[in-house]
Amino acid sequence: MPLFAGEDDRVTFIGAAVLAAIAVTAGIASFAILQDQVQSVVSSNLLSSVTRRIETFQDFIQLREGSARIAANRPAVLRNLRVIQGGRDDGSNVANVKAVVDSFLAQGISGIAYDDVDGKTVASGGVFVSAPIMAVSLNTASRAELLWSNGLVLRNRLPLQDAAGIVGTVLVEQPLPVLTRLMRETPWLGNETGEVGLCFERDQKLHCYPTRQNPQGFSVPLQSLSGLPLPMTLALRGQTGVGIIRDYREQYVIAAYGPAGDTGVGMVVKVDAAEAFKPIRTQLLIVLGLLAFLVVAGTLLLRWQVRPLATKLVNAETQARAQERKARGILESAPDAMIIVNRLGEIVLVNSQAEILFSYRQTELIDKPIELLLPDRYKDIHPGHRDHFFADPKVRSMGVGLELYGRRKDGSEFPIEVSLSPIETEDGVLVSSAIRDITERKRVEKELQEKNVELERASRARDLFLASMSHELRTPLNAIIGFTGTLLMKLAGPLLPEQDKQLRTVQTSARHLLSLINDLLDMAKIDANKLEIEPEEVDCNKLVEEVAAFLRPEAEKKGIAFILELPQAALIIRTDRRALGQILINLAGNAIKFTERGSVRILLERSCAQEHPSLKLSVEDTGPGISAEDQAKLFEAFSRVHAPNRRNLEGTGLGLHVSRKLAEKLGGVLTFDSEYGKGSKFVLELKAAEA
Amino acid sequence: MSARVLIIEDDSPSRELLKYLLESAGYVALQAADGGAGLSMSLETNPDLIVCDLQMPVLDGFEVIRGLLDNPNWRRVPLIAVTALSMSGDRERAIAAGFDEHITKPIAPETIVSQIEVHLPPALRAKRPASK
Repeated sequence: MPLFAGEDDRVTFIGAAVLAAIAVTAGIASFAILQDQVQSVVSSNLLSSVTRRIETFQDFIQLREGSARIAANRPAVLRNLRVIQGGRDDGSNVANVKAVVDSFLAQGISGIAYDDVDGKTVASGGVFVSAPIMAVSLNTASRAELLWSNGLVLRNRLPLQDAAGIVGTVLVEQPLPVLTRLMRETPWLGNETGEVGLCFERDQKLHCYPTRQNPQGFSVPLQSLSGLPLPMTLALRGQTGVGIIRDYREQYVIAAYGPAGDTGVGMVVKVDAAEAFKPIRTQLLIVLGLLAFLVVAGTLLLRWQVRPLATKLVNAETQARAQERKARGILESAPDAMIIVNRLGEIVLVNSQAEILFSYRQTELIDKPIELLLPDRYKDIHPGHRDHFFADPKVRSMGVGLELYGRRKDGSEFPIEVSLSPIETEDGVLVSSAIRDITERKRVEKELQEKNVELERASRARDLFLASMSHELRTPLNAIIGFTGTLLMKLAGPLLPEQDKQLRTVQTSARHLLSLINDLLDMAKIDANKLEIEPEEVDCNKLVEEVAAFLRPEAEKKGIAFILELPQAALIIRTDRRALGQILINLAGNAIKFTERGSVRILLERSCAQEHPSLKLSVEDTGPGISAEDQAKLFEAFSRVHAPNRRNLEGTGLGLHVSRKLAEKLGGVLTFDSEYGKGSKFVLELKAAEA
Repeated sequence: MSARVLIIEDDSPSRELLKYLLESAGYVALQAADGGAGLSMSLETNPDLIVCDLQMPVLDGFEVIRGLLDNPNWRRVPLIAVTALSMSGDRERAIAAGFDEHITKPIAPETIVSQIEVHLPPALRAKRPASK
């Protein structure tokens, strides 16, 4: 398996890189902190070390100078030298001085010699340094010389003086083992490079006593190659301090320096920075090693242990992307502009319909407040509405009953309709809004409204026309039929038979014209849906009798039997009296009209077939019947049945058409059954509830 | 003395027809050619019965009867509506307005007089031999 092969390896790599970055940062930071601390600890220790050594140095110099002065002021020596000088030496005087010399040699003085005023040695003892590798006169009161010969030696030459004057000199040499050891021992830390330097300046050079590293002593310029003063130079200029600084070897050292009082020598205690920081370098290496190990281990852990998780995460992400693509696909498939907004009113997702609708690009909308798409006058109140929605998130229309407007990028507004629905997501509840531009619908609505008004006007005009037609046509007929009647009633005088016959023709024709007008008006009203049904309690027995009374004369005149069959009890139902009466007149009138022999029978029954008792009215005749050909178009307007021996003048062809329409208006059914040549039977059934 | 019947009717042939029928039956027929004239004649002439068309100029039949019923000086007599209005509900509207009868045009000359005189007190009905 390759180390980094795919998407999951990318995750591992990123993990490893992150770990490494953390490790490097932690390493550098810890090193910096450690170095700082080490430097401060080392510095303070070196400084106290140099201070302590300088004190010791001064103490010892002072102490040894004191010893030399004691040797110079020994009264016994002065007295004996005065005797010797006077030439009165008896041999005991020199011996006495010699005895003093011996006593001093027993007190830590390595060499002592008493000389007379001529410089001739009276008595001496011990060992004197013959060729010191280093020597300098100290700025002390006794002008002691500091020598180096296998160690530090302090040499004093002091005058021997009594009350009468100078009697000679004394030369005293005292080894300084403590100071020598102080110079050579390892200072506090720095087994390898730790060094204590003791130097003086002469001829623009530093002259230094032997050190651990330089057993022969050495001389170096006052400044390093870089032109900066050496720590010792600073000390000899009277400065006390500590710092990281270049020494005479051009090495970085941590050095503490200071002058040894006014003696003219300075002291430096130093250790190479490399050595001082060596412990923490080691620690740093250990830390870096550990961190490197952690990085490697972490990477391996990521690779072998976390990898399935990473793979899962990657898959989840892939799935999430697929999910988003899917959601986007669904959004895109919606016919409306879709905008998904979060709790804060920020746009989370939009489809391209929304881009088109609001003239924004998708990138201009994502993460922007939804108020961007609203007219300014709604901007203040809209967040409140949104809070309200999130308080009770459910599918609903926005601003029911209000006119809503959206705003395009160019600031133009347009009417919209918005429906909101909450979406539960991992990021919380979002609201999905489907937005529809209703400009076109508003226009159509307005157009429809205008059209409706127009139709209303037209409808009123037609109503008026129907009403006036009814009035205007009936009025002249009133006089025609009326005066024909008065003539036939012979109110104006007797009539000749021919006059009577002709007047009856006028009367029949006028009545026919009337029924034609009635049917036409009815049909117009039915077609205009203007025929109003006004239900009232109708005594059907009585209604049938009234119609029968009206038609009976016609039947009797034709010599056919006119039979009524009514139920025993009164049949009262709620229906429209006029419509029911007209249907019966049409049916019975037709029956009489077409029947030449036999009978017309009207049968009224209570039908109990339905839940509510209802009416069944049958009109049966023994007329010619209706041919199959005619049956098909029987109820059509202006259709006429071909009957033998019939004058075509009568009948409008509207009666059955209107009757069926009226029956339907009453909530009933008009059916017929006919056998050509034997007669017809029409049946009206009404479902009207019994009153 | 024969009862006096006021005919308020704007269509003169129809008015003539009614007048002829009523006079033939033995009544005194008074005539008004529009609603306005009809209303004033009703108050001035105190007819025994009023036959009134519904659709007329100046005042229609409903305005005439309202004018009569609202006038405390008018002596209540039978009111018969005769009209070419035959829409459903017209009869009910007429009865509700105060008319005693509603007869649609065209009238039946054979029966119109008896349809009208039913509403007169018997004493005021024209005396004539049983016809037909």
